[in-house]
Amino acid sequence: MSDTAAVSVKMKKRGQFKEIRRRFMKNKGALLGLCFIVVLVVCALIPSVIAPFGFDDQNLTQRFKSPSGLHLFGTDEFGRDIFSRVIYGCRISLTLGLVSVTISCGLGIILGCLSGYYGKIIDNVLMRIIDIMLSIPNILLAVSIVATLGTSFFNLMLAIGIGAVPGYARIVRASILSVKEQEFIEAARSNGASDWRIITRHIIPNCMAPIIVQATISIASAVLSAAGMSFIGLGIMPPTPEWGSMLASGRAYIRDYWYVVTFPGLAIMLTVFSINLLGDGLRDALDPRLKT
Amino acid sequence: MFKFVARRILMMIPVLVGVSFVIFSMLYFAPGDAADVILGDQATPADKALFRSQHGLDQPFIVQYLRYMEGVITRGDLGTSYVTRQPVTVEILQRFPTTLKLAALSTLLAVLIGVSVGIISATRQYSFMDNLFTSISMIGVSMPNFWQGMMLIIIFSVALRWFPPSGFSTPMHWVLPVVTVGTNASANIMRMTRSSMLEIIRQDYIRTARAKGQTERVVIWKHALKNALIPIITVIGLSFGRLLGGAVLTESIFSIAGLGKLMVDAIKLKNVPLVQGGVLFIAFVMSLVNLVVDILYSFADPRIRSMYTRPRTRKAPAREPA
Repeated sequence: MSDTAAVSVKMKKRGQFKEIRRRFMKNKGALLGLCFIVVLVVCALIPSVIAPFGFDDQNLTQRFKSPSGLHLFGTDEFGRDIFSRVIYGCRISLTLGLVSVTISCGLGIILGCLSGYYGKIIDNVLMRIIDIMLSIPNILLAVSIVATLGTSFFNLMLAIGIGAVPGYARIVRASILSVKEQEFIEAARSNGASDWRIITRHIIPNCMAPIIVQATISIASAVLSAAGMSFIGLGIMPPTPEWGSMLASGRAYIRDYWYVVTFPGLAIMLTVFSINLLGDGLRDALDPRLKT
Repeated sequence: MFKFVARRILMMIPVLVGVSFVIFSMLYFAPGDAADVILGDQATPADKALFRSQHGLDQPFIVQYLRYMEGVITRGDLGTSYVTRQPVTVEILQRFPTTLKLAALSTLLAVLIGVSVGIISATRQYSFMDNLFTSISMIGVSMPNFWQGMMLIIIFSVALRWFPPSGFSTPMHWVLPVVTVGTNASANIMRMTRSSMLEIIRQDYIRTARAKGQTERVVIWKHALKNALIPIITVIGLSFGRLLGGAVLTESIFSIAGLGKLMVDAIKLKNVPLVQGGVLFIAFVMSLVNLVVDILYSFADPRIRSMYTRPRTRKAPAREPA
C-alpha cells in the first residue's frame, strides 16, 4: 500500500519536473539568459585563467589606452586593464547577489511563515513592521544600515538583503494563506503532524514557485543596488574591481575617455538582463498561471 | 469616502511613529559620535561635551526620543541640522521642490511612454513590435539608472553638445535627468500595462463589445484600458512615491541639489536630526502618495467605490442594525 503510494508520488514528481523543463526549454530568452549566466559563473570561478592581466596590475605608462587587441576594453586611470577588472568583478557581483538574496529569502520565509501560519496578533505586528520598512526607501535604508555598521563587503550584503525582506515576507504570507485552508493541510494536522512539520514539509514546498521566481529576480536587483551603493561610496571600496565602484572612479574622466565607464556598466546591464530573462522564464515554466 | 480618507490618515500615524522609532534607534545605537564627526579632530573634550549637552545627546535614549517626538508633534519641529544650524524643516523644504519637479516630470514621461507602448504591445501580442518593445523594456529594467545617465551625458553633452551635463535650473537642464529617470520608470509601467491589458483583452465583455460592432479604438481605450487601470495605477504610484524620496543616484550624476543627495550626505556626516527628519518626511510623503493611489482606485473601479460610498437606495441590511 505505502509502496505504491510512494511510487506514484515519485512518478508524479518526475512528470512535473519534466513538464517544467519542457516549458523552460521552449523559452529561447530564458535559455539565452542561462547561457550568459553560465559564462559569468565560469568567469567568477576562474578569473585568473580568463583575464589577461591581474585586477590590480598598474602600469602608469599605459593610462587611458583606448580599446585595442591588447586591452579589449581599454585601460583606466592607473593603466589597469579594464577587461580583466570586469572579469574579476563577476565574482564579487555574483557572490553579493547570492548571499544577500539568501539573507533576505531566509528572513522573509521565516517572517512570512510566522505571519501567514499563525495569523492574529503575530500577523498584525509583523505586517505593521513590514509597512514601516516599506515606507523607508530601499536605498536610504541600505545607506543607513551601511553607515551604521560601517562599510564592508558583508555589511553591504546585509543592507541589501534586509531591504528585500518585506517583499519575500509578503509573497510567502500570501501563498501560505492560499494553501493553509486546503484539505491536505487539514489531513496532515489530523495525522498529528507538528506545526514545524506542516510548515516545512507541506506548506513551503507548495509555495516554492513564487519564491524561486522572486529569488531569481531579486538577485538581479541586488546586483543593481550593490553597484549603486558602491557608486555613492558606501559599498565596495577601490581597488577591489567591483563594477559600481569602477563606474564611480571612472566618472571623473567621462568627458575624455568614454570606455572607462561604458564597459563596467555594460557588464552590470548584461548580468542583470540575463538574470531577469532567466527569472521570467522560470516564472512561465513553474507557474503557467502567472504567465504575462 | 470622507470616512475612508480619515481612517487612512489615522492609520498613517502608527506607521510614521514606527518609522521615527526605527530610524532614531538605528542612529542612536550606531557606533561613532556625532560630536566627533561634526567638530572634527581638533575639538577638545570640553567642546564635545558642550556639543552633546547642547543637543541633548547626554540624555538617556528614551528621553531623547520622547523629546524629539514632542517637538515633532507639538511644534512640527524636526530639529536643527548639526552642519548648517538651520531648522531641518527649512533644509528639507528648500530641496523638496527640485525633487518634486524631477519626480513629476519623469513620472509624466514614464506614463506617456509606458502606457502607450504597453497598449501597443498588448494589442499586437507576439508581433515584431511587441517583441521589440518587450526586449527594450527588459533592457531598461536591467540598466543601472546612474550608468544610463552617464551614457546620456557622454552622448548628448560631451559628443553632441545638445544639453548641459549637470544642474537642474532651466528646461534645457531638465532634459537629461528627466529622460534618465523617466525611461527607467517607464519600463516597469510598460510591462505592467502590457500584462494587465493582455489579461483584460481575453475577457468576455471585450468580445461582446467587439461583437456589437464597436470600433477597435473604443474597445481598447474605453472598455479594456479602464478595466486594466488598477495595476497600472499601482505601479505608477509606487514609482512616483519612490522618486519623491529622491532619485539619489541620478541626482548625484547630474549634480542636482535634491532630497536624495541631501539625505545621503547627511547620513555620511552623521547629521542625525537631518537624517531623522528627512526619512520621516519621505515616509510621510510616500504614505500620502499611497493614499492618493487608493483614492484613484475608487475612481477607476466602481466596485471599490461602492465599498466606501453609501448607495442611494439600499435594501435592508442582512445583519442587525447597530
